[in-house]
Amino acid sequence: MRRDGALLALVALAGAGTMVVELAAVRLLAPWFGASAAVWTNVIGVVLLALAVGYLLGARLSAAADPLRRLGFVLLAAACATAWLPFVAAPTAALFLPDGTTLDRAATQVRWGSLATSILLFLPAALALGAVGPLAVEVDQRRRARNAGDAGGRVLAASTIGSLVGTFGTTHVLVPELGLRWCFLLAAGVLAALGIATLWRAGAAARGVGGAALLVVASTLLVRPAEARVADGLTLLEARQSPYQSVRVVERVVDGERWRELQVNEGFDSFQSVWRETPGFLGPGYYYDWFVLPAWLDERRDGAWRTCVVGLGAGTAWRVMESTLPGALALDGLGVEIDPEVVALGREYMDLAAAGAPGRRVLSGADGRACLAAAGGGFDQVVLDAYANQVEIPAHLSTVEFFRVVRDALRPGGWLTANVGAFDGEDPVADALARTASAAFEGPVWLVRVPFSRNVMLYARRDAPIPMGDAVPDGLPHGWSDWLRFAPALRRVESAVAPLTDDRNPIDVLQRRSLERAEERRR
Amino acid sequence: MLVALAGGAASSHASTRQDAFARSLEHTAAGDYAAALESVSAEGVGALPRARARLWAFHHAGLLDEALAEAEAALALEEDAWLRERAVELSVALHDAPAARRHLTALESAEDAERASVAWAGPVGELVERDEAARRGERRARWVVGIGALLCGVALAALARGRR
Repeated sequence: MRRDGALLALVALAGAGTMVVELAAVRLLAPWFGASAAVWTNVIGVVLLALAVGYLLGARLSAAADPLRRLGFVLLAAACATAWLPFVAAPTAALFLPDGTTLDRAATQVRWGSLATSILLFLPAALALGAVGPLAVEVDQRRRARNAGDAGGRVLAASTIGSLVGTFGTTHVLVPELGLRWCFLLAAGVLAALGIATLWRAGAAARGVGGAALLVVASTLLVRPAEARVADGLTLLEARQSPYQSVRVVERVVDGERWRELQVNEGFDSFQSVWRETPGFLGPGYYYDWFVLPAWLDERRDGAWRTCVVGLGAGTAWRVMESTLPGALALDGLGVEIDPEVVALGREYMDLAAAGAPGRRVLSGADGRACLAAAGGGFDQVVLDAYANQVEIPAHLSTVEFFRVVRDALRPGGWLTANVGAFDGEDPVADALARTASAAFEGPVWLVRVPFSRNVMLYARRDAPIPMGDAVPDGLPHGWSDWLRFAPALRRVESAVAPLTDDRNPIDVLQRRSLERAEERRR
Repeated sequence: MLVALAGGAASSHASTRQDAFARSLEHTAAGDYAAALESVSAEGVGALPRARARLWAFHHAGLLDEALAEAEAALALEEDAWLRERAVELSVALHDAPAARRHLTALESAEDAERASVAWAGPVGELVERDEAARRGERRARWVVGIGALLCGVALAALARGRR
């Protein structure tokens, strides 16, 4: 009975180890390839393929005179393959995504790059873990002299329960509390301990192998994790690991003025938030300035300008709006940012309002759609600037159902302003989001290109016209009056054809098409 | 230099062309890009001055793709060193390595463009190298995927056959 319990516990722990590898794997790849559906598919696909090969390998190994000994070796092999994953991830990804790759170029290599990296990193460990099940079934059946189905069912049940624990444990405890390095090391340590214990029961001759495997796992403690790469001319102020991504703040000095950027993951040539020493407009190339435009187009000139920023980041939108609103309008801001570390860094380095500051409320660690739905209505403006890994639009923030939540949160005449990463107004992503917003707002929306950038601003308005094109007023700041009459920079969309919905939202495919379209234009 | 490239003013026709070109530049400097394009849209403005003025407007407006398209459309009809150099500059800004290399090669064989071609050789070379490295990375990834899938397939087939 005790030996049966020990065997099933071993199988359960191996199952947990499999899920630790699989779930932490995507997070390990995210700095280079993001965490989109394509990356998840590649990781899961590689793990499943490896498990299939591992199952057959285990079946072949189970014919040996002493399957318990082979089970020990397989566990040690899995431990060695798991321990070094955090340290070889960077050089492996660099094989397919070399230094100096720009953000838009990197985005085109997600599919093949993440698949190749997954094969090299995760296939060996998953293959070894796949062999555990058949060997354990053989051991169980020989010991208890029961039929194969009985042994198989018990082992599968134990493995699945272990996988369940590993799934929840990885996401809610291991990665946020331990970080990736210690998460993989813990899994490798447990597998190594199981392997050594199994070999100990199998015979003295295998103990040397166990010791060697333990040495391989423990040697990772001597390796320093690679420091975050910072481009020339930038000074690293701080780097942290959040539950969602790695984040850092860098600084540069331009004409005697300090600029800071908050970058996530590898950053490439982009940023998540920006701070300028002098408050106000940031200047050409920065889309944040365009968040202020609706206030200048609106009829109101005094009182509180109530905004909700979904994707607040470190507060760049607020910093720009605070000192550029027209007349006597004063910003009254609600900001939602899913990553609490980003908020913390914003408060420390980018003058993001402290908790409890009047007229500034930050909901950190919260989802934007849920917060907006619960926030009550009457907003003058909702700003949408939520991206995962800098380029990935969260699917649930790009559907007609979400835009209806936005519309209902606005007062009559209130504005939606959305930052869309797109090459121009005809971009597949910009086009789809415009049609979706038009369907939700039941009226025309405008796409406005941001000069010197790969950004397009989407403007929608509840139950009121948007004065652009020929209707734009004179005297707007920032050159807006001329820009909004410049036809190549604008596109009016009034179409509810095929909006993106919660049920059907191919935003990943559209983003891929956007990059492919840009790539084709280059050739 | 951009104004000088608009051509001389020996006749009233040329004077009209020069006025339209100068007006376009003034509108661009003032940020009124719609008026800048309108100024050179009339008949009588030569193709090259029109292309230069439109490129200048789009470039200053920050619509670099359109600026490059203006240059390439005009260069397809007639070679012009200034337009060619702007095409190199815009290609580099847009991280378009194939276009940058193509335009630099053409610039190197243009008359009176030696200084410009030497100045742009470095940035274009770096861009091309980075692009090539990225493409090599993608090819490498496809090879790894292909070989990995093949090995897994062979392993599956061999293991599934069972012992003889």
